[in-house]
Amino acid sequence: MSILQTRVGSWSFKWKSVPRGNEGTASVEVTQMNKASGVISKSNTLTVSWRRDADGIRLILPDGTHGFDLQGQKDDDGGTQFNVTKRGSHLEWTAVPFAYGERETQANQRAGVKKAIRVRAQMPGKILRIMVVPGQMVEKGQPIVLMEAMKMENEIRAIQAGKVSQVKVTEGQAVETGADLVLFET
Amino acid sequence: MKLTKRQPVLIANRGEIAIRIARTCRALGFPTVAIYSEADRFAEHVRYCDSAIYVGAAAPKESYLNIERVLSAAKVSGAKYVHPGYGFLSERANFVEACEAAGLIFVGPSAQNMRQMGDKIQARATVDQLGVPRVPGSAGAVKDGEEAKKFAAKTGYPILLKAAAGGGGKGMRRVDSESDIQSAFDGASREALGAFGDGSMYVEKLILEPHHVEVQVFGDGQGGAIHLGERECSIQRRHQKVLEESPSPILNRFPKTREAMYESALRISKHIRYAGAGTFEFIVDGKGNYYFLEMNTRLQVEHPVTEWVTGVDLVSWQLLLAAGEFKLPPIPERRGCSIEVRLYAEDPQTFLPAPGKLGLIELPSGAFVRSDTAFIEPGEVSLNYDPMISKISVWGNNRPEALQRLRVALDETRVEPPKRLDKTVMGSLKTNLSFLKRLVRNSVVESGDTTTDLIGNNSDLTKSASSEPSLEAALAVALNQILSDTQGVGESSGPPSSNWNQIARREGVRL
Repeated sequence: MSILQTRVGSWSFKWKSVPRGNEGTASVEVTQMNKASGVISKSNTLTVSWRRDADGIRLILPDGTHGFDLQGQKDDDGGTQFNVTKRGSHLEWTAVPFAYGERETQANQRAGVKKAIRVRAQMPGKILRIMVVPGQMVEKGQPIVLMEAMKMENEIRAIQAGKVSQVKVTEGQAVETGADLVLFET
Repeated sequence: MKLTKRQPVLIANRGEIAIRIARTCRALGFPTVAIYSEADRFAEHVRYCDSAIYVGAAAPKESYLNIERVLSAAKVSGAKYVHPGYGFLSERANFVEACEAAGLIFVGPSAQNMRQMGDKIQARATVDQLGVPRVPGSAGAVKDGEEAKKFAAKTGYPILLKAAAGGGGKGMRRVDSESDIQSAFDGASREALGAFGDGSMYVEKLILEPHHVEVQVFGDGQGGAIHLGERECSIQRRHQKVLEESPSPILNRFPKTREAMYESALRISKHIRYAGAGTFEFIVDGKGNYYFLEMNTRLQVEHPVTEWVTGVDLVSWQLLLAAGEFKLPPIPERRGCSIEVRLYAEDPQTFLPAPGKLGLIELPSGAFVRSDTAFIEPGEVSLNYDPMISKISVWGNNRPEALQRLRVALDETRVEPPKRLDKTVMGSLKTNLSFLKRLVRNSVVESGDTTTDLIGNNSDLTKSASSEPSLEAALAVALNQILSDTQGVGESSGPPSSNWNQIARREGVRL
């Protein structure tokens, strides 16, 4: 069972399933860390529905609907920061950092250098579907990418368990033999 | 209502003011002619007018400032009137004369009016002759500290020493007492000599707690004139107005000053037989003393504030006066309070222009809310011209009501640059919207005791917002990023807000 984790500012979200599409609903476990004390709040599970549009996203939460305009900018470390404006209000936030994965703990900092693994295309073809996102934990044998080659659909699976660090292709893209598809670390 | 058949008006301007003038022309039955530069081929003012004539390259001196081309456009179009708007040719006496020579009627004051009030020395002479106060200053350069002392002995301290050739605060010193004058004079003079190659110094009385208040007048050109109340424009950044309101809060504390200012403005207007809309700018200090600064012989950017409180369409008066159909009415009663802010394409921290393409624009509406703009659909804020996106003005029965209405209006406003699929920004457009939202919630603005140094003294107006989001905002960021990453670049990201967005997206993908 893979769980997708994301962090935004002091908030940490665990997604029960990977959200997809312009409209949908997902269940998410929320925790917050108090920056000063380092104390992590008790987790709370929310159901969120959304609708994306050209400038941002609308969320439907138990307490009502919230619209946001989002402007992303790549930061120096290759991450993304967002300027966020709540529609119809004066509330705004700047340079809100986004990251995939668990909150860095001392334990996984000690784990040291991780082994990187590349998943490459074995033949020329077209990417039909990408089934993982960066930060996601995958099991050995789990499908990663669906590729069309030689007029056939081929499921490319993980050869061992690990965490996806980068997705190098997009759906619909044509690739040559040997092209990197997904990088992950064990 | 039956409309009189009227001759066409050429609008020698662009942007929101061109559309604002064209609207009144239409209401009165004047056909409209737009002019446009290379950069403005698709501009909204071109579409709005009945016809449009190309006048030259994007640079203003090739097009909107080129008298010859503007006049030839007027000739080609068969226009009878030329309305200059504000900026560009609106205060050029030689343009007024060129219009008259070409058999056109300039919608505005006479060339003589402009020369009398536009030339600083001549304006000062007129003002002094009529006994209207202006900031006390030395008649010419003072030769040393001793002479500056004599001046200060008459006006009192503090005084301001200013380089005659100066600008940008160089060679400028505030002096609070007689003992400091000699060293301040020597220092400022040395600095001016170094910076401008000229060490000569003027001396002026320093106005404490300065408020910028202006009086709107309208003259019939025959020696008759009325005022239409005042506007306070104390809130400025980079010496440019950003919020204007009527009535003036400082004059509410000094009603006698208000009456004296009206009287001064009318005395000058009548004396010079002023024709049309004009504005007298004054500086008012914290004790209610007022001093004449200058006269603007044109329609002001912030005129909607006056229109809200008086119910007068100032452009209609200008046009009717030009058409010889205007009779000066009594001074209109002023009702309630109006506030305007200027939404600019500029950095909300540094106030430097940041023009670019617009991906989305939603301006406010509702009861007693007015948006003056040339961006009816998303377009581009051109780097060739003033980066104003819109003026947003409101009216209320009183100031708190107007201010609250303005807060709601600004919260409704959305201006966004075009986006890529993952919502990263394509263009360089920034706006001062976040600054304006903070400004209308500032406690000093709320109190109404705003001086011209408000923005410089309130760093929290220009600080950047927190990067620690609310739960909802954090969820929005996380979901948005996951959805972008699971979606692939080839797909559409939901219903686009306009066709332009689709084009932007295609271009974004290609970049």
